[in-house]
Amino acid sequence: MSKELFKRRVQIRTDELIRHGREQIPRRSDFLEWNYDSELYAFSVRLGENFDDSKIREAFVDQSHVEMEAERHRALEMGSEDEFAITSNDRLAEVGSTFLSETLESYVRVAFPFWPEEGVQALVAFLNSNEVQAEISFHIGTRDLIFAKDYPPDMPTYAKVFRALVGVLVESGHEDQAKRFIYDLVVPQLHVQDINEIWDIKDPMRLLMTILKNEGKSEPESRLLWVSGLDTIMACYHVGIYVDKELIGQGPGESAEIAEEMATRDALRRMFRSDESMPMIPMGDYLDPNQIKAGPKANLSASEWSQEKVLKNLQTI
Amino acid sequence: MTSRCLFLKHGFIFNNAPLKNGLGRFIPQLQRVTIKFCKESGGSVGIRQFIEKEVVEFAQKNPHVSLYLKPRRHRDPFIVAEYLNGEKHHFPLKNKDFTYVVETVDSLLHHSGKEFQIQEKQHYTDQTSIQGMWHPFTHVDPSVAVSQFPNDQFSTPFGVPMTATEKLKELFEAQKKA
Amino acid sequence: MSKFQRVQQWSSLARTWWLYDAQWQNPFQSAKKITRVLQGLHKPIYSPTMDVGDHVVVINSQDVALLGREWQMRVYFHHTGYPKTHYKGGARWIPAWELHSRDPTLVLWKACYNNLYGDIHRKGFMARLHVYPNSEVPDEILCNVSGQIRPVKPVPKKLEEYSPEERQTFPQLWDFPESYTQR
Repeated sequence: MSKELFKRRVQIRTDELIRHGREQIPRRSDFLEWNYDSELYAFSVRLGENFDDSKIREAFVDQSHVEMEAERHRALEMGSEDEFAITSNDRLAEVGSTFLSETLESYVRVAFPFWPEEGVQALVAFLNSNEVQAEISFHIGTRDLIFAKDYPPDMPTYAKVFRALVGVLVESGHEDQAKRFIYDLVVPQLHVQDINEIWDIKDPMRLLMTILKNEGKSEPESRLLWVSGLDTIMACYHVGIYVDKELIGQGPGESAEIAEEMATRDALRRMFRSDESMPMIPMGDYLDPNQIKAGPKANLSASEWSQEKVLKNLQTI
Repeated sequence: MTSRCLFLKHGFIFNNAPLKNGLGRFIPQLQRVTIKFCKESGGSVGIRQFIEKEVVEFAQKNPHVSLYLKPRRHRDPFIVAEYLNGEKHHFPLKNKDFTYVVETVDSLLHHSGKEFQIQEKQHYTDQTSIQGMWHPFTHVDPSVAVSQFPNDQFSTPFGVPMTATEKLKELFEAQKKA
Repeated sequence: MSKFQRVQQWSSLARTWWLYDAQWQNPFQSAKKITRVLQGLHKPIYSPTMDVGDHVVVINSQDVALLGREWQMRVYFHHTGYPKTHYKGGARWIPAWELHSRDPTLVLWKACYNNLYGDIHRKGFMARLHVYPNSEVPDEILCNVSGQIRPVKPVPKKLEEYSPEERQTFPQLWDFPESYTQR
């Protein structure tokens, strides 16, 4: 037991030193037991992909590493600049980035056909964000393979490497494989998220009124449904939104205003089919790439959205 | 019950699979294995037998794992397994026999790198209900919302049998109709 | 936690206020119903580890009804705190009618208190019980009420409460002779 406690004390002390910059985490590649080629091979096999050998080596080289090496070259006066030939992963990352945006957009449009284009773009922005892609990149094992100035690499570096890997697959001509790669790694990050939170609607009441106007219905009416503990600090209000005397959404809240806002958000998510009873987000075995190929070019924008138009578009597909 | 039990984490299963492993494709979590052993000492006998017999087969069967061997004189044998979530797990193998080493190495493949914890429950969900979570007004009649309390509507208990007076009135009404 | 989860949790765990009319009701049978609501046993989310009890406002506790000779025979114990040698001292057992005359809410309050299990949660549950001797309840309490607990026994209608029309149309079983005086 004392051995465990000792180890913990050492760990805490090391963490403190690292945090204060007095000790650096040693690079994995500085250890004697390291073979870059076998690590790269293991990386490809782990993901089940056949990465093109030359291109994948390029994908792991960050711009900071290229600059560092150039500095070293200049310091050691090792010949002209033209002979220095390490390319960074900037170009591959560009290619991968555009492909990611396209694939994710078409996926989201097919998975959420009732969502307005603004919501689609918000979801795509979330999936394309540095945070999400850096986490994916870290968890597939790129930390020790990346050539960068800092170790461990920072978030944008990780994200760039991931995009570069997608770029490698695209440039090798395996577009379907690249799409499968994105569907298997990026799309599941939507799993535990509340997608209604990812797309933050700034003014739900105004959006609801626009949609109802497009559908030719009358203005929404907020009514108080229930109140419990009116005069207490734990008061709970339930507000319902009525259109033509029909309930389209209801929500609870700590105050009447909050409850009204949640009721409008509930009405909107019911319209966009992303409420509690929505169907499962297609992932893995339930994801059919052919269905996504035949998807729409763009969803309706929020200002033009109406249920009839969406259903009509779905029928034509 | 050893003192190790005191350090075992009790956890609720919560997004246990790193990176939602399995929802898309399954990615094996073991990244690399480093085996440090001594070529001569007695404590490394088991691990030397493993290297002679099983290690090549292990490496061939699991190409996603990078295997490193470190023979160091007069050093105790151990295995360090590195996982995709950045964790390093250390297994001391001094004086352990061949079977133990094989079992240990085999077990490495089935770990995700997360700290071993006792699961309180084997199920978890974020979608608590597709019908909507219960709240105090789920099954309440809407007329309650506009009632003033105390209300005559709720001033009688349920399941009261008919009194003789009410029965009499009923008979009277029936007689009137007939 | 998302916005939706936050408000859903707030609504699921909200405390509601109930009204109970103790007019002519047996306090001990009423206590069973009241304490069930105080503990939160009427909710599907009940758990003994989490206090999900509701508030209960009891009115007309002065009109509570005890069985048989209970008003005389049921005694309530209390100790004055002084030793029995002291002139103020010793234990006191007072019958229900006397307790009721001193504080008309106590008979029902003690019925609820003694119906609850004597653990650490009891004080918390009892803090949510608001007993009033008649139907005068402060506005700030009454505005919270959003439900009513049905009484244990039906409250019979007094003869004076029947209107003259109802008395006229009530079926007569026999005709009274002319000499019979009716009030």
